[in-house]
Amino acid sequence: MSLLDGQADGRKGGQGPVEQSSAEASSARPPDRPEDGMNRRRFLKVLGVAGGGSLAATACGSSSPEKLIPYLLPVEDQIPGVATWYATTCRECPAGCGVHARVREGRAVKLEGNPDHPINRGKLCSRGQAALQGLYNPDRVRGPMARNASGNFEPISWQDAITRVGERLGAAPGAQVRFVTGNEAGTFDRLVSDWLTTLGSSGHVVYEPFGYEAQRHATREVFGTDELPWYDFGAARYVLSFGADFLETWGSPLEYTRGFVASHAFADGTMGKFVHVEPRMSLTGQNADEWIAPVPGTEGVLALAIAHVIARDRLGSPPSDAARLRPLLQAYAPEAAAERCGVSAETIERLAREFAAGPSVAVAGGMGAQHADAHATAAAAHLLNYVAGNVGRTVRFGVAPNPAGGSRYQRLAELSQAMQDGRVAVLLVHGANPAYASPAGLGFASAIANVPFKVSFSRFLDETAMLADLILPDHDPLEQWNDFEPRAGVNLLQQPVMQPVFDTRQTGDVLLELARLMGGRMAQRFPAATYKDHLQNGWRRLHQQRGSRDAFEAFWTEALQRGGVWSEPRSRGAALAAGATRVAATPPAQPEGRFTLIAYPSSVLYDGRAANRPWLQELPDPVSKLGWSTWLEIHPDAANALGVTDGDMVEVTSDAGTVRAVAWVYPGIRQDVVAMPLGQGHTAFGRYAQDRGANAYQLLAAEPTAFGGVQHYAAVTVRATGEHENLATRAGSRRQLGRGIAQAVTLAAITAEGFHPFHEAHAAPVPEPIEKVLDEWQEEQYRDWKERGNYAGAHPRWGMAIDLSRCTGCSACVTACYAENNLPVVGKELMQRGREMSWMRIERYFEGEEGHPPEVRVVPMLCQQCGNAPCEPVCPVFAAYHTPDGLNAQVYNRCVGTRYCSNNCPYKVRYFNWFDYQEPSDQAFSWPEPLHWQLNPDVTVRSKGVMEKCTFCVQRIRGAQHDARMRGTPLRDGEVVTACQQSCPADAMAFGDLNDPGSRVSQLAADGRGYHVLDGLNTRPAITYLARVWNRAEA
Amino acid sequence: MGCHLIAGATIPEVAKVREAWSANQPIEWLKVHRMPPFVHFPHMRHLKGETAVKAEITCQTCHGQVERMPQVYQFSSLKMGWCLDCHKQNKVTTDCSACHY
Repeated sequence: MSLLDGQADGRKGGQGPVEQSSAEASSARPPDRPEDGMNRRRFLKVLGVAGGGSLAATACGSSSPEKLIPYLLPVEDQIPGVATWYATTCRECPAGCGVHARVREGRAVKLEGNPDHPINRGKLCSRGQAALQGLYNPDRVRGPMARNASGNFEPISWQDAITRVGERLGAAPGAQVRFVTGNEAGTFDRLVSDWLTTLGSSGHVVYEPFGYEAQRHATREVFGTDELPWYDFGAARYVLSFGADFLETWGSPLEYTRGFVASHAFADGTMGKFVHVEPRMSLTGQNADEWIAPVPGTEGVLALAIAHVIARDRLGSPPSDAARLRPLLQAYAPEAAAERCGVSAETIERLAREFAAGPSVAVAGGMGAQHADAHATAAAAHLLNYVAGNVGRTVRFGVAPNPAGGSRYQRLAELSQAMQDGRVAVLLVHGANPAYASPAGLGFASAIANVPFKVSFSRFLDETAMLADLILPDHDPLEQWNDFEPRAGVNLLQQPVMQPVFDTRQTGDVLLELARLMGGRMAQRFPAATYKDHLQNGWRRLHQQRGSRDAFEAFWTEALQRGGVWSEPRSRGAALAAGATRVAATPPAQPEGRFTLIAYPSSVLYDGRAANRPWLQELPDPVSKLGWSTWLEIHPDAANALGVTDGDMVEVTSDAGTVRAVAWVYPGIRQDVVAMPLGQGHTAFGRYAQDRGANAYQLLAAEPTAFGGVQHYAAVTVRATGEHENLATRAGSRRQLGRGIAQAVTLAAITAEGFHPFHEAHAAPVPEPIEKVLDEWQEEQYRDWKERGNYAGAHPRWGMAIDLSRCTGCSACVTACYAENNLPVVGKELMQRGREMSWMRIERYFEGEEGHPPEVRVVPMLCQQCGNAPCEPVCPVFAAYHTPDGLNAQVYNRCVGTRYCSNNCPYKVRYFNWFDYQEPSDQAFSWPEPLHWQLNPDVTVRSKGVMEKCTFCVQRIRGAQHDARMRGTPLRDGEVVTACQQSCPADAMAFGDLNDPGSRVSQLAADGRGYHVLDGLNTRPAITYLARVWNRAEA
Repeated sequence: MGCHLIAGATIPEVAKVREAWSANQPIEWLKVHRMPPFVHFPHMRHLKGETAVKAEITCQTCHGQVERMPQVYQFSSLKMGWCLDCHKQNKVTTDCSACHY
């Protein structure tokens, strides 16, 4: 009976042909009832975007029709169902990583790193992934707004808005116009400066809260240049960091992570060494082979003491004029220094020998170490590099990284004073939030009240925008034409990857239109019709400079496709300036009877600008594993003394102010130090950020330091309030308790004679005859079904290898997974109840004795796709089963929600949809519009009552398999890349076919360091972990 | 709108196409063949895939004699059992995760 014999059924919805099928689609439970809100297709609902291919919301089996709405005029690059990729630049921080935006039907749904890009080489951090939640944020300003008579914002037209600004600018004396921007190095920065100059103002203030003032002061003093050095971590076999969090926010974190992992990960029997010096063990510090906690503020003394020993013993190969430094180094003999910084003289001697023994690099100037003497620390690190001969090798000039864009807190303080004094008539703010991200004592928010006319170009109603009279929302970075210059020789382009979501306008266009409106000199100076034209004019000049032989059009198109133009600048060393011999470390006095508070930059929320992205709020902080919170890190002994434990609310008071935070007991911090992350405590900025946690800036002194920066250290008292809250964390026990989940070995052990492959040495010992019987029994169980039906024949076995000596714990993979797989964000309350949904989590365990500095081990934990899965046999409806290609599959429409599978999973990597996260009326609704535009159309959005878990990005596997079939050649190793693997800045994951002996994952799985988590349970996971290697004497 | 000014100029349905064009509105087609959102159906594999070509699957195999339909209707049940019957007949995969993920 051929298919054509089947009953031709005239009715829609198919009441069914007559043939009886043995395997009728048996949804035990129809997953998409008509009343269900959003399904995979709803996101395509037309929302005014011209002609987007779209369907009205309904479900299968219902009688209401779905619609197919094609483009009236097909758009050139868009084929429905096929993604288009656009190259642009991430602007979530000043590192300037390159991004490829995956666009489906005119909407950006995923960001991935640009593989050709010199800075990030195809990788992207959590903040970069979460840029999409800035684009689709429900609290974006949707059009121009003006403050009305009753003081509220009301929408106005662009015409009206621009006219008003033009009038006020025309009336105000040019010298009284001020423009605060963030680091926008490139065409926009130059436009703002030119624009102001033409107006008669010199008031362009660049403000980046992370201004690296200490490092810049030091570089000027020691090398006589305003340019910051660039560090070649990849060439350094020994890294000594004085509080520089180069794996998190410092400088160019993805670039430095790549270099660091290249030389520090265990490979070919060897690895580099990393020593981190900071009173608090940051995430960067957790990756160190040795963590040294000096007396706060004395890092400079330590650095100079190490330099003293190197000079004294003539270690390494210093440049000839290093001798000039001898007199200054005299005062830092190890014994004297040891007393001041709390690090023993033997340690100092040893560090010096190690540092000078090979290619090394010392880095300093992190914002989490910006105390009053931070410039001396940075200068000391420069000198240390100099005497060891690193300058010109691992420390290079000519590259000129520019993370701060010329920002100086001093200038913000001056502006604040000018506003207070009434010397500012018009204030414009773009890409900066000084009302939040500056010490409260500066009084920026109250000073701004003295300015008669304030304009904000902010995309969100942040604290500064809330004080403005007029808001002219800028396009999101993903919607605009622009460029960015993070360092010398690198010119990056941004292009719109989709139509603007709302009625916003690029600020550059607004400025040009204002110039036209004001006429005269302004109109003459800025003739470009649009900002894109203006940008292209600048690039024509660039094109000429580079002497390219192509016509400009070809050059421009190629640059757009590539993401920009870049060339390796000629890097060089530097000679000592006169000021180098005047460097002196003068640590600030320790506060008597109070703690030293360190307000450190959050690797997740940065300086607070990312706090309105729900993915980042939900992302457990890599150190504390807390989400949606501000915490105070406090040493166990100090906590005991205060009578405080995890979850107790404490009040932290400095001379500048008071905040409340939840206490988090952490052995990785000095007893006399407490630490608090920046980024929360917003008083505006939307539903995800507002009224959450504490703003640590309120504890910081407003007075600029000697080097013109904000002092991130403060003397504080901590008081228990008696209140308690459950920690919003998904972490369980901090100790492995002998479970062997995160394994590590020392370099000495692994390179010793007779080192056994890890899994052999550490597996539970089973007598050989019994092991033989078990193996035979196992084989017999599988013998039959391996030949049956779908399982017969050759299949790949998808597997993964995760190298723990590369993984830094940064958690970029977690956010990438959220973006790719439509994971719902559950919010703080549900997270406190353990309902988080992240398929990938970074487990963090402390090792070592109580009271000693902890060894930290991280393990990315995801569904292990067990070959002998405990979850499969217990599913009553066969929703969890093993596929022929080695995946543990979860069929959502079959799941009835017994949750037995999750109960049985020893890794606890199965997650249940307790709520209807996609239903607007549900209390846990996760995608207020237009956040749902981000949803990946290739992945089912799960509804309530369904179990879900990591699928090894099965949509990518199937997609690649379809492509391979269509082109007729087999899949190549490396063609399928999971989302987590794709994003990992350290390239810690390998994915591929374990049945292919030549694949990278097979080779890694056979590595001597390889082991399985909870091996003794005989689950036969498809994921092999490669044990961490520590470059230290004992484990 | 070159062809349809002339071709089929008198047919009312074609007139609708012309009207949509001049009103600058895309035509809102009602979807006849619908799959639930938890099914990922690769249409291309069924057109140009090796087995599909060998089995000489044509449009009409699943969609019926569309060229003779005054108004397109759903010819096959599109239920999973119907899909599986053809899959079993042609000896291609019946693995759940081929389509359900």
